[in-house]
Amino acid sequence: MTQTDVPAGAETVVALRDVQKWFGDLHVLKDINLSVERGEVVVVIGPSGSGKSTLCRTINRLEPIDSGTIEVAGEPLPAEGKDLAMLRAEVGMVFQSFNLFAHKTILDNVTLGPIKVRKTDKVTAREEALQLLDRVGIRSQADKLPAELSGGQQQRAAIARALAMHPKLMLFDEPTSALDPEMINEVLDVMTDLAQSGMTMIVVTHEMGFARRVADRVVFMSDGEIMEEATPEEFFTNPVTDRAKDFLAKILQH
Amino acid sequence: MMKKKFMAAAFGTMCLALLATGCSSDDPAAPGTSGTTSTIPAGPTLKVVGSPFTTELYGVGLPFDSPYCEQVNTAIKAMIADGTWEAKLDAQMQGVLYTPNAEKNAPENLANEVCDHTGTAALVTSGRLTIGIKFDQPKLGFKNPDGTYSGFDVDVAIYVANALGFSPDKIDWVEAPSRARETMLENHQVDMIFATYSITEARKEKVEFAGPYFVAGQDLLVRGDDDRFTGPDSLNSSDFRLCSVTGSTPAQKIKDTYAKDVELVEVTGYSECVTALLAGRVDAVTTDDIILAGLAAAGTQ
Amino acid sequence: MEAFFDYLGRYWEFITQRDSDGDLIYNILGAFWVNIQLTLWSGLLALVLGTVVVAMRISPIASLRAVATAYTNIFRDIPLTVVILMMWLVVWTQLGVTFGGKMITDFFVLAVIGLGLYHGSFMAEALRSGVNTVPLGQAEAARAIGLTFMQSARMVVLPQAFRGAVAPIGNTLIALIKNTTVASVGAVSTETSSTMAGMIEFGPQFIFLIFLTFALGYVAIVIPVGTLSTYLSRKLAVKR
Repeated sequence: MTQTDVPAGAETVVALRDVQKWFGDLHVLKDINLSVERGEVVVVIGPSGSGKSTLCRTINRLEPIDSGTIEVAGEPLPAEGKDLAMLRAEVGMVFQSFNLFAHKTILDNVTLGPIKVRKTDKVTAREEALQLLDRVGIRSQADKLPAELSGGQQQRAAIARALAMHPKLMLFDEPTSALDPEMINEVLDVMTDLAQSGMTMIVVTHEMGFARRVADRVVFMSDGEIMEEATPEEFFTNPVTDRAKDFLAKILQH
Repeated sequence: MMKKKFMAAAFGTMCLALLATGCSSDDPAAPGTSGTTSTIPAGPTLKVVGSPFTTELYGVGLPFDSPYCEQVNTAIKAMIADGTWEAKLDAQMQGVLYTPNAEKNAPENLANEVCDHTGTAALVTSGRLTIGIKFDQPKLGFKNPDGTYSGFDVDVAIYVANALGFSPDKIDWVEAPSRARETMLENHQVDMIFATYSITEARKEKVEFAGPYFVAGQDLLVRGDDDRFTGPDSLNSSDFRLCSVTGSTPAQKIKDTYAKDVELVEVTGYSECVTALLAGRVDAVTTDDIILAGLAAAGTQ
Repeated sequence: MEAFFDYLGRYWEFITQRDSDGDLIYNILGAFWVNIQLTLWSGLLALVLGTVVVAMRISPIASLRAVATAYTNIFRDIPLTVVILMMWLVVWTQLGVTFGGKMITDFFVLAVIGLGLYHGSFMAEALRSGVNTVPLGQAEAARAIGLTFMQSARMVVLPQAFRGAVAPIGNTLIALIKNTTVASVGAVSTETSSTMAGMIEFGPQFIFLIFLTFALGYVAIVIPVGTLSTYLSRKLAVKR
C-alpha cells in the first residue's frame, strides 16, 4: 500500500485503528486501519456490500463499532450524548437520499444547524446561508420546500446545509447514487469545487471519473476489508490485488 | 362484553365491601313491631331508618301477548295461601329481622292486577322458561359466586314456574337490568321478569303485569352509628350526600319531593353505594326498603 | 299516522317538562355539553400524555423506553370501564381524594383523569405511527449536524410525526367522544348516558325515541370531527 506524501505539520483529522464491526454474524468491517490528513480527499470505492457506507457512517457514530478506536481531530469518538452532538457538528455528512428536513424551506434547512447548535444569530445565519446556497447554485430556491426541488438541487442544498456548520471534515455517502444521470455532474462540480478549496473529504462513490480527477487517495474495499490504497494514478493504471483488477475490469467496460 | 366486565368489577367491589366490613357476629336487635311501619333493625354497621315514604308494587313483567298472565296471578295466590310466600320471605330475611309491611302485603292487595291483554302467543313449547332477574340485589335477585341464583324474587319465580309446569332445572336465568326490562319483554328475550319491577302506568303502555307479589316502599339506609337522619326530609341540606342508582326512581323522588338541596351521587349499582356509605363518603343510600334490607344484610356478613 | 304524531307530541312534552324551579328535568343539551367538556379536557390530557410517552418511547435511554412501553400496555389492556370505576371506587371512595367541596367536581375531574390516562395510551400509539411516517434519514441528518436527541425530536421528528399522525389522532378523538359516556360509571350523573337512563326509567314508552335522540346527538358531534380530521390529515401531510 502506498500513501501520498503528507505535508509537514499536517494534522490527522480522522484515524481509524483496528476497527471491527459485526451485523449479527456478518463481519462487515474487518481490521480497518485508515487515517486522513487535513485537506486530503479520500475516495472509497468498491463493490456493493463491501462495507464502504458502513465505514463512512462509523466516523460520525451513526453506526457504532464493536472494537478498535476511531479518533476525530485527535479525540476518540464519545458515546451518545452532548459530547457526541458537539463532535458531529464538526463533521458534515451528505447522504445518498439527501435527507433534507421535509417540513422546512431550503433556507431553514441550512440555518437550523448554525442557529440551534452554533447559536449564531438569525440574521448572520441567514446571510451566510444565502451565500452558501449561491455557492452551490440554488439561491433562487431558498424559500421552497425540498419536495419542490429536483434531486440534484436537493443534494446541493444538503451540501450547503452541511457546510453551514463550518465542519473540519465532510463525509459523502454515495452522494450521486440516487440521482438521474443528467444531474450527477452538477453535484460533482460542487464537490470538486469544495475539494479545491481545501476541505478534508471522505467520499464513498461509484463515480470513477471523479475519483481520478479529484482524489488525493483512493481506498478500495471489498468484503469489509481495505484491499488497496493508492493514488488515483497508481490505482487505476496499476492495481495490485486481483480483487481490484477484477473490479476495475468490470466497471471500466463502459 | 363491556357489561360483563363491569359486572365483574361491581361484583369484585361487592366482595371488597364485604371484606371491608369484616365478619361480625353480634346478635341482631329485638324484632321490630309488625304493624304500619317496617322497622329493620341494625346490623352492627348499617341500618334502615324512617318509614317507607312511597309504595312500590313489585309485579311480574310479561310481554303483551303472553298467555300466562292469569296463571301467574293464580300461582301467586296459591303461594300465599299455602304459606310458602311467608316462609320464603322469612328465610331470606333471616338475620336481618325484616318485617314487611303487613297491611300493604295483605293477601287481598297482592296478585290483583288485571290482565288487560289477551295472550295470543302460544304456550312455551321448548320445555324451558327464560326468566329475567336481577343479579346484583342480595336477598332478592342475586347471582352467587358459585353460579347459582338466590333471593326472594327467585323463590317466587321458581314457585310460579313450577305451577306452570316448569321445574327449577328447566329455567334459564337471565339478567334484566332496569333499563332493558321493557325491551327484553317486547323482544321476547325473556318469558317473564321478576326483578323488583315496580308496576307503573308508563310501563303498562309497553308491557303486561301480573301480581303484585310484594309491596315495598322507598326508604333510607345509613351507617349504624349515625343518628342524624330520621326520614327523607332530614336530608335536605347541601352538606349531606345521598347515593342511589343512575336514573332510578328513588333518586328522583327524593330530590323532587323531599330534599331538594341534598347532593346526589348516581352510580351504577347499589353495592357501590354501600361501599361509599361504609367508607363514610356518602351519608345515606336510598331505594326500596326490601332492597336496602338485603344490602344491609350483605354488608354485615 | 295521526297516532304517530300524537306519540311524537307526547315525547316532546316528556322531554321538555320542568320541575318546580323551572329547570328542565331532562337537560339533554346540558348533558351533551358535559360530554363535550369531558372530551375537551381529557383529550388535552391524552394528547399531552401521548406526546411525552412517544418521546420516551423513541428515546435512546432504555429505562425511559421501558416505562413508556409499560404505560402503553397497561392502559391498552384495562377496559375503560374498569379504569373509571377504579377512579370513583378506589381513588374517591377509599382514598378520599377530593378537589374542593362539590362532589360533582370531584367526579368530573376523576373522570377526566381516567379518560385521559386511558386514551393517552392510544394517542401515544397514534403518534408513534406518525413517527413511523418520518423516514429514519430525517433523524440521522438532524443528529449529523449536531442536534441533540431532544432538539432533533422537537424540531425535526415530532413536527413531522404530528402532521403524519393527524388521521389516527382524529380516530382516537372520535373514540374518546363516545367513550365519555362511560363517565356515568364514575358517578358523573349529568352526562348523556345517565340522563338517558333516567329518561328510560320514567318514560319506558318512548324508549326508541330516547335512543334515537342521543344517537343522533352523537352523530351530530362525531361527523364534523371526522370530516375535519380527514381534511386536515390531507392538508397537513408532509410532502416528500
